[in-house]
Amino acid sequence: MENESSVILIIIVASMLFLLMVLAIITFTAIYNRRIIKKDNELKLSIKNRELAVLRATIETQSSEREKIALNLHDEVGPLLSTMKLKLFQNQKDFKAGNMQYETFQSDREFLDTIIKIVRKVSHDLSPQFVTKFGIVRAIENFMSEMQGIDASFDSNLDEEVEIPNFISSNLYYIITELINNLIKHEGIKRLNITFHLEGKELTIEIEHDGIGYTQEEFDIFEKNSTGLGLSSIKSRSIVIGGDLTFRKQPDSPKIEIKTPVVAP
Amino acid sequence: MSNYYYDLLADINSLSAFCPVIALVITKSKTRQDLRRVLYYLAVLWLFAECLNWILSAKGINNFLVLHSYDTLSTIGYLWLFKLVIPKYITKSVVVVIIVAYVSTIWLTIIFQDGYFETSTISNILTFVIPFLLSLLTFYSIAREAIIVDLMKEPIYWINAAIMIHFGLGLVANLSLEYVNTSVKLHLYIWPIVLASNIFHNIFFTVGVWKTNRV
Repeated sequence: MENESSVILIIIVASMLFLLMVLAIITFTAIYNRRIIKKDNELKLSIKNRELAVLRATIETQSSEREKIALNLHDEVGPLLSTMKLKLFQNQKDFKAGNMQYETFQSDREFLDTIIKIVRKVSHDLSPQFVTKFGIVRAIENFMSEMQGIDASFDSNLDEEVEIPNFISSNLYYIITELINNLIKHEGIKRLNITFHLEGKELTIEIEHDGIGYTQEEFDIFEKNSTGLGLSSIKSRSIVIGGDLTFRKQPDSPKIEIKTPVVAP
Repeated sequence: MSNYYYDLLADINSLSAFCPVIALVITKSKTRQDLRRVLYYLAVLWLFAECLNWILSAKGINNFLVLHSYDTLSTIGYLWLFKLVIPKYITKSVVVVIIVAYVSTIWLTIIFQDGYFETSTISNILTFVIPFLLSLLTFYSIAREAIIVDLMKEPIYWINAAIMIHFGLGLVANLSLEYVNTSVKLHLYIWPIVLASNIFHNIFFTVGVWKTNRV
């Protein structure tokens, strides 16, 4: 009799435990499913936002570059060509009057050279052909050699045989030159050291300088609040090439690090 | 448990078998026709088995042969259902293999043991284990794939919960019945568990059927 009672108790307890286990499985499935779907939605939203940010930055960058080119043409090339036109009118008059001098031709030729230089500069701004022709390393070397009043050094382990897609190298060139221009303009740096380090298919670019520097958070805040397009353009270009841009504010030597794949994303 | 409560539970169980059929009749669906066909099959089968069982019991006729036939037909129905619910795991060939293995095992055992009019351990265990494992696989699939946004509105979730509760508790109860085969008193304690799991099953199943309405 006592044995029967304990068997009944065991069976009832076992049944209850089993029922609880089944209910736990049913509940767990519902909760887990909801959590996964929530995460999935958040991920989709973040990807969408990121895509929108890149798209917006790309459009803004494009529009800013167009403005820059238009400004260059209007402010620099335009007045020079107008002056040249006036000069040619004057030459025409002088020629009719028989007052034409050899020095006038010499002066006009020099003036035309200046115009050609400016047109080249505008063209270079439009598309950095030096990068696509000679590669990122030589383009950066060339850029650094033109800097005045700065103790600049450049070090690279990039082999010339390594082919970086034009899309990546031209964007990298823009990012680096824009960063350096900002450092010169806003922080008045006097010392600059750039290092290219290729490991496998990842290129790490380090820019060390003697300015104040930014932390990553500071850069993000500047970029968010900035009315200019330089910073957002830097960020969007680094996203577009699949790169990672990091700012470090070390006490003795602030550093900017760009890590990017050297194959097309 | 007194006979009054036992009978009450048995009556509620019998009446609850009507719920899925009623729900199927009064609901409509344009996109869930495949699912509703198999739900109709199962619901009508339960009701038919319940009625037949009641008639045979009332006349004092042994109903184990009906029970064996019902087990076979309902397991086939569940396999058909799981083929629709988790086609990635339960393909047509898997269904065929399981049906052939299950039917041959059950009926060969019954034939060789001459067990037409008595309970069969293998039949009991297999009948409860197969749908239980498949319902477990369905929940795993639902959680892993996470494509159903609101599970509470999904018929499969409710139907699968019904299957899991019914066959899970049924499995425990049947194993216990095997253990306490000789004691009539113990049977009276275990059968309420089976009846309760049946009632749970019918309620959850009805909710699942209701969720197919106008989807």
